[in-house]
Amino acid sequence: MMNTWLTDIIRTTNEALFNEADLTRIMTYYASMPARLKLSEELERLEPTLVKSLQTELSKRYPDRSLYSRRFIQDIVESLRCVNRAVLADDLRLLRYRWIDHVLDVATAANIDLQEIRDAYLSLREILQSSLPRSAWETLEPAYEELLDALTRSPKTLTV
Amino acid sequence: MICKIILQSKAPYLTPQERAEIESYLSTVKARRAALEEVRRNVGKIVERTVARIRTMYPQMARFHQNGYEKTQRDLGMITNLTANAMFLGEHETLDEMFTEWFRTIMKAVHLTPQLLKDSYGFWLDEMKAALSEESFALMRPHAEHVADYLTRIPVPARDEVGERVPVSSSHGAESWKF
Repeated sequence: MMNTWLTDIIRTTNEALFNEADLTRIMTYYASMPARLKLSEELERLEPTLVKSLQTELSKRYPDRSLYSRRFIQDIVESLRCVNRAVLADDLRLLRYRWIDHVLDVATAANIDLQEIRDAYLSLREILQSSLPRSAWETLEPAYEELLDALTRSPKTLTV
Repeated sequence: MICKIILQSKAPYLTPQERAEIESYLSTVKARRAALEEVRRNVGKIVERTVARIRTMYPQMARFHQNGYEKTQRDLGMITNLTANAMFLGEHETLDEMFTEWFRTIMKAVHLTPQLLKDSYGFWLDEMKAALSEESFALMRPHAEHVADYLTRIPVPARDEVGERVPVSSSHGAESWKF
């Protein structure tokens, strides 16, 4: 099983009782869980409509790009599940391990321009910003920006 | 609890049941935090009183194990802490992965008897119940009973190294605990 900051604390604490600093961090995380769960609900609710919305948007903006097949768009939308899981765990390492590393490997192997993938995520960001309640978007935003940021860097830089 | 569900869930998004489990746990975290602090204040007392009762019932143990009572005191303190952390987290799978199975192997290796362990953890639960508030003990109890049950399930050694067992009038209520 993959570790998060919380499992790291549990293993580091070992046979001692949790200390005050760790308990404060854990309690702060717990206090943010209702917002994270709400975001998760919203993303699940939106997912069926996002593929169609994104397909419409991409074909309007980039009519000549062959990369934007229905399957590709489906993968982009479904990658929100990995983003959601990282937000729920409050650990962006999950996003890195479960999606970012994978998408960078695939892009390198298939010689896909990362900017085209990033453009799809930028379009999806606009759709999400207009579809999600503001508080849900604010909960999602740091992880989403991490994803966009990773797509501006070269795979070699990221795997060092 | 939360970690386990988020990392182990196979569904694309959390299922209603997983979400309900998280929400149910979150509704108890303030009480769990308070119980953890109560254990922190009382762990020394719980362990000392438990070891005193073990010493009375098994007066010869030190003949077989150098510093046996002191090591028992150290181990029970560690087990109390780990159990309190498991209570705070609302799950003991992580505790078992990290500690319980490994520790049971040690108990077998030093030729302790299941009876000694049942007596010891019975005393431990008695003293924990006596030292903690009703609410805190109710939160600790399922995890403490789990640990006790796990650690007492060892075979009878071919030759035990615990010495005489002296029944005492203020005997524990091990029979009333679920292990």
